[in-house]
Amino acid sequence: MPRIDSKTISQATKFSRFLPWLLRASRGSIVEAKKELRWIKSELPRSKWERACQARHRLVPLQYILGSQPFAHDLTIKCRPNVLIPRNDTEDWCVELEQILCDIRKPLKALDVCSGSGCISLSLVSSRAKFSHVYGIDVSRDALELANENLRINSHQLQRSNPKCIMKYVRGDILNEKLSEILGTGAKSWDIIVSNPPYITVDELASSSLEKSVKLYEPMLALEGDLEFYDELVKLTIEAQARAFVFELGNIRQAKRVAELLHLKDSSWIFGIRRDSGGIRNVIGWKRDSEFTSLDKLCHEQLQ
Amino acid sequence: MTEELKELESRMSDGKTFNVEDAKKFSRLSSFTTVYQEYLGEKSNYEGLVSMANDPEDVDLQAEAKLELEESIPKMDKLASGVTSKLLPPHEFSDRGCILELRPGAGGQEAMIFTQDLLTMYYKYAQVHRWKCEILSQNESTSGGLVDGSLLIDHPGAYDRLRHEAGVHRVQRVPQTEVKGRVHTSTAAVVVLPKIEEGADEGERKFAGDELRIDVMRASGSGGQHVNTTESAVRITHIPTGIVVINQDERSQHKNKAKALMVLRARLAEKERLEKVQKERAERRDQVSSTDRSDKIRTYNFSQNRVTDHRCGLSLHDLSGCMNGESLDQVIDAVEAKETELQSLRLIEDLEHVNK
Repeated sequence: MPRIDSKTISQATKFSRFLPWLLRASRGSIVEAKKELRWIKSELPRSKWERACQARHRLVPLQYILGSQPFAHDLTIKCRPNVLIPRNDTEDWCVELEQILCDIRKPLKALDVCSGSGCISLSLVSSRAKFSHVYGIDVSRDALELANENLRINSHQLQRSNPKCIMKYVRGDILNEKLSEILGTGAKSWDIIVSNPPYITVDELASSSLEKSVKLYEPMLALEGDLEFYDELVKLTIEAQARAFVFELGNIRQAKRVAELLHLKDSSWIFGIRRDSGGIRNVIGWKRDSEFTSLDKLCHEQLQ
Repeated sequence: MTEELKELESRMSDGKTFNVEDAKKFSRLSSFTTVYQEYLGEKSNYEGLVSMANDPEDVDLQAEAKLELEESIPKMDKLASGVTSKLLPPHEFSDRGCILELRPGAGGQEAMIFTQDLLTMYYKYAQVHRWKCEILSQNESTSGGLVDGSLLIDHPGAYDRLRHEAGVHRVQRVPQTEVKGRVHTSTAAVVVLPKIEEGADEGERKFAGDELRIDVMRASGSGGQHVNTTESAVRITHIPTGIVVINQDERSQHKNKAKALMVLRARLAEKERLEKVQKERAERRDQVSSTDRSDKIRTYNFSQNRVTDHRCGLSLHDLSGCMNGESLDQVIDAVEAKETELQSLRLIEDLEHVNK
């Protein structure tokens, strides 16, 4: 955390008495602090401004303070402690994925594993791509409750683009339960699996690569994880008989693990990885000769 | 000309060869005829009044006709200029919404405050007209005023109405920041861009993969679950032209990107239009003055409560009405009339040139 010099603080005070509180979270950038102040002022009643700014000084995520984060196509995703905040990086690949999927005519069945706030599944259904069934699975009751709220408050957008799609959030622990134990007879014949599982390793948790605000206020349950999740995602993909998947991840080992395991089971899978400005972000796979071959547009590199 | 019009009209009313082009032509034509008929009606009214006014037998009628003539003449002038403007070719982007971009010019702090005032003026102007309006970005200076700002007025035809606003606006007043009470002169520049609709729009240009460079600005690091930053700024660089658009006002990075793309499209469209206009001018070696020069177009003098538009010479003594958007129309009307006049003069010159 860089020290904020007194000149910046006095400049901020001149602009507004609230602004200095916001300098810590914006790492001393007056421009960023001013933007946050404008958002706070436009989204919260005046009586809450002071407490909001003070909470931000303690590095409480702005999304928890304001209670929401906009996502993809005009979705409002409610945010609450105990559930991971939707990330811009996730929004990025979701939007790109939707643009590819909307070329597929047949309505798809998609499974969102570790669905959290529901941002991924909700953005898919609110897009121009067509879906018949989209289910979310999460182990956290807080997440399921929030995802269901988000389903309700965004129902207008969902109705507009996919009026016939059946959406549901189901509790399930993928590390300990098979898909058939979670979904019963509905475990088979899904088209595509999407997932943003916990992927921050124990080493990374201890290092400075993790933002302080994340470490202090977001749920470890949604953050800490590694290969064990990708092992289960591979099993689940096979059990669901899916022909494509997009998983978010944090390092190349996780991508390689998915490709290796799945290739062993079925050599007709093709894999690619997608990067963003933060580095490797996704592992993507599809079956050769399936309708999902255009997913290669999402990849920056083939794997293997 | 009336004959030509009738001929076209009868061909239209056949209804045999009805296609999109014809429909467009027809709507232009019929809107012209409405104005033209109105003009003809007023003209015959005028002629009747003149003969009455010259009637030596009825003195009462004479006086009454003279009174009515006083009303009729300006009405006819207005209709006549309406007819002329309908005859001129419509502006390329006349049916579009617009984006206004504002930037302070000379005058430091005061220029920034004036930029804010102008942005408010256009916002209120759109509200007066009940046009859909949204502030795209406003970059506030720490000590008041705007470093830059932009406004989207998403109403068909807003571009045509506001395109005369492009140029340098000058303010003369005692700034809030001035302690000795002296009058300062500062400026702000306004750029008017056409809004290009995404998707269905014919004018929409597709960008090749390597034509754009899109950067998201954020702290370094691994991203993803590691950060929950609120930084959502997007910078788009159009590589062939070097145009850079930054948008950072929205919390959603996706929306910032969409807005930046919209502004980029608008800037490219306006750039291409200006290049075309310049080329045409060069071809005709046009030295005729026009209303779209980029120098100082208007002065807002606060101490005299006066707005003067330098292109048409109009001085309006209702500065506050203008600044809250209510009487800005009077100024724009005058500039439009001036443009119509200049353009029709040029058209006549051209026609004479051809006839020689």
